Amino acid sequence: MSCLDAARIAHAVTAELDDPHLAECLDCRRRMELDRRTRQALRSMPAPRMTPAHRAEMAAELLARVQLAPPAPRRGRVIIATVTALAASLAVALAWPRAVESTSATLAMPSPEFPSVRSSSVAALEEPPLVAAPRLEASGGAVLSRRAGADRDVLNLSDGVIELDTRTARNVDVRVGDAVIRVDDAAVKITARQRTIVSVQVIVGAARITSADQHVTLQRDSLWMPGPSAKQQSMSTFKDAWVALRAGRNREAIELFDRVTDPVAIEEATYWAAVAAKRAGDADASDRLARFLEKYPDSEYATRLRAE
Amino acid sequence: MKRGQLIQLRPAVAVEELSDEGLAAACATGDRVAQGLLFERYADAIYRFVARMRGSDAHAVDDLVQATFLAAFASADRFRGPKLSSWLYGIAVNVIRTHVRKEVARKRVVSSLAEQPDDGPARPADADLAKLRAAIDSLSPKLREAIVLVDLEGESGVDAADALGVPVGTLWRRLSDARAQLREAMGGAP
Repeated sequence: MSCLDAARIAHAVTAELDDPHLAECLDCRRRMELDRRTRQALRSMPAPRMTPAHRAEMAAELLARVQLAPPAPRRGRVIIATVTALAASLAVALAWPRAVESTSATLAMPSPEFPSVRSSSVAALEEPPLVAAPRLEASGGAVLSRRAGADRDVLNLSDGVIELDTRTARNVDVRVGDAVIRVDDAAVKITARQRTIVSVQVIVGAARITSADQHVTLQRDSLWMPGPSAKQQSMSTFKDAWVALRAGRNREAIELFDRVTDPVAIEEATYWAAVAAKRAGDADASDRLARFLEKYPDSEYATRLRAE
Repeated sequence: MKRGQLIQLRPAVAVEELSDEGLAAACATGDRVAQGLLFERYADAIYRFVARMRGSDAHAVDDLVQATFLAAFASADRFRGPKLSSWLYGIAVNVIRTHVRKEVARKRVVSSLAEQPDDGPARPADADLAKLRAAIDSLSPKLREAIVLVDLEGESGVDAADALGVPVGTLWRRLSDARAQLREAMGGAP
């Protein structure tokens, strides 16, 4: 068996791994001990600390800077001027019997009442009471379009933050990507990025989120976020795989390592899946190692494998 | 939806009880309380990291810590996990790198007799410590980032690699090189 390379030793020292090679290699044990002492010396260094007063002062200054900082310019803001200039025509458009598409961003929209556009007094009498438009405040470089309907409005939100209050106003469906947030007689705060929901906070009432395969009803004072991202799941799986490998649960480790997809960990996962397969005595262990060498020829592990 | 599943319903919680993911989401909405809490939770860690990275530039540390949190508030909606601390370290790394680039450019232009930081004569008991600090300062930024995150801040290799945006194997190589250079600087075997 060949000796461990320096990176492997750094890994073993940091993660406190037991490597069977060390039992028989004096040289590697010596190198590990040097690394371990260096790490111990570093770990024993006193840490820089803030005094409570320093900390409080910095917090106050930071939050003051947040309040003073101008919002980052975004595409949505560029069109504010145009939108503002068109506000009057927008109000007219909203009142038009057909739905009208409009684009607005980062402005607090007043609650324009539908003006009466019916010429027939009989028809006007038969109309239900006019319902006010919902209160909408957009920020964070919001990019959205709005379509007014007879009984409910539709807002398409791509980016940014909106605070929406539909109490005593027309209800609203907020579309973010392929998800729809139904806001009926409620106050909510919705954050989106690149046509994906970042969070939905229900302040008053309830809201319902619907996508192709999910339906979630949110109650007052709740904050909802999408499930863990692929990256989160992948890194979590990698850690679970390590736990399994160190515990000698090789088959479980193989299965978990094989599920890792994140580029940060994929090289390690591929290698350690092969190692786990070898430890488990799997027939495909050699094939796994060969595939690893083919895929990651410059890896530190590849160097070691070739030496073996 | 393009990514993620509608699976996670969080009960009503006070902002102080929010998980890191919830805290980031609340910060993304511009919630000042959440931003203050984010600072409270991670100020010490980020301060330590920045101070260790820029130990000889003490006056800049406060500014860099604040710049890190301001950048975090501005991009909180981009937090995708897995760990908020790693994400913040990553931001701090970028803030420090930008600062260093600007400092280098500034020092090229301003060729004045810059006053070198003077920590005063080291006490005998502090001699090794001062030597170790000097050795850390002498490392290249990439090696210093690795050793500060893993050996001083105690981050795992995977989390440190995530913060630095490099494969784990690269992180181990840098860590190994950094430890070897420190030993050499301290007069030990490389």
